[in-house]
Amino acid sequence: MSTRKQDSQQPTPAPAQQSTLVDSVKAYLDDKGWSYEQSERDEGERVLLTTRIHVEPVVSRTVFDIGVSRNRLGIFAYVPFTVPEDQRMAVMEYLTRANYRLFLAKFEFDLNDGEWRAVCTVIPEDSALTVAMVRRMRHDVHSAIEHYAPGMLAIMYGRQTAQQAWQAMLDREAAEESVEESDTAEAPDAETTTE
Amino acid sequence: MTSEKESPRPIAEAVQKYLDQEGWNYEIDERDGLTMYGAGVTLPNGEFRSSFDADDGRERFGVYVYSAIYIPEAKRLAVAEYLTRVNYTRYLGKIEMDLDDGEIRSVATVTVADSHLSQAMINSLENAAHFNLNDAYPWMMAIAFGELTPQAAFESYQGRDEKEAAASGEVSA
Repeated sequence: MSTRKQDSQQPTPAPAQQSTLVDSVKAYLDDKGWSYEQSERDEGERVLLTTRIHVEPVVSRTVFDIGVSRNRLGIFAYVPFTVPEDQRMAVMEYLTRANYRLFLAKFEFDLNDGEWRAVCTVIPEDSALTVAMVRRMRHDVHSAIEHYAPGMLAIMYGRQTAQQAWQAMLDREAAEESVEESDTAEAPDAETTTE
Repeated sequence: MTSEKESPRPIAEAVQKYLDQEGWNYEIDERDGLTMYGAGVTLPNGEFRSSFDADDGRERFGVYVYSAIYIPEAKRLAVAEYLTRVNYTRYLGKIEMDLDDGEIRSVATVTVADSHLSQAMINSLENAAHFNLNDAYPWMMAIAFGELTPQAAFESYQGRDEKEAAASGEVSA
């Protein structure tokens, strides 16, 4: 059995790559032909590229949040509704099950206000952030929404329990005769469009 | 193009190199295209089982850290609430629970499509997966085997020593 000490997780400054992060994301968005708004936060420490993408069954405000000096990228895909307080425990149970199956992406759920989002983050350190990496990350956050949002909506508007919604999701998968792992296939981006 | 790119298994080789340099004592298992490097690990708050999973076919890598203690059925939803709150505060990685059997694991993953897995990336993911679980673990166990509520547990977790939080790489989204 190995014994590990707690080492600090120090961000690795990588000045040579700072423009590459923004450039890689822009190259991906431009290649897709998606329009986006650019803004800055924290005195330029973060560059936000925001777009709206149709991810069945919702339109997702999606933020590509680039930490310039921290050398990191987070893709945050939001859905246009929040979960009412009396349904948050059921949704939490459903999302806990979903998170156990996701590889790259994860769901985050704010139990205080009902906001939920799909997220994928990377700290490339001294490796290059390629357009292909951005493509896969973007694909996986939106695939997660596409795959699991119907169950969320069934809980919120169909008055299903978490168990019922989860079973219905499993039944859909079986009916499609393919276990649709949301994060396995390389991104065929055609299923999403910008608003 | 790096020399690692020229290897048919650049991710597995990078992981093995990292583990060797860091002095890990590991076992190798190959299954379904994955090369998994497994080892026991002792952290300040518990003993865990770690797996470094190299997937060269899909150009991706993940670090999994498993708890040896399973959550009793009666406490799984309470622990899930706590983990939901904790996960919202983490930038890299997440803590997962299998609601069917109570298994707990911490995960940090990356895709390296058209890029390469550097030693620094492996280190970053290793730290995130281990520290996320180690930091959250005491309160998770207090919920599972005590009377602590998820809300009280999370408040206590948030109030833990700031140095520990910094060491764990905690950052808000």
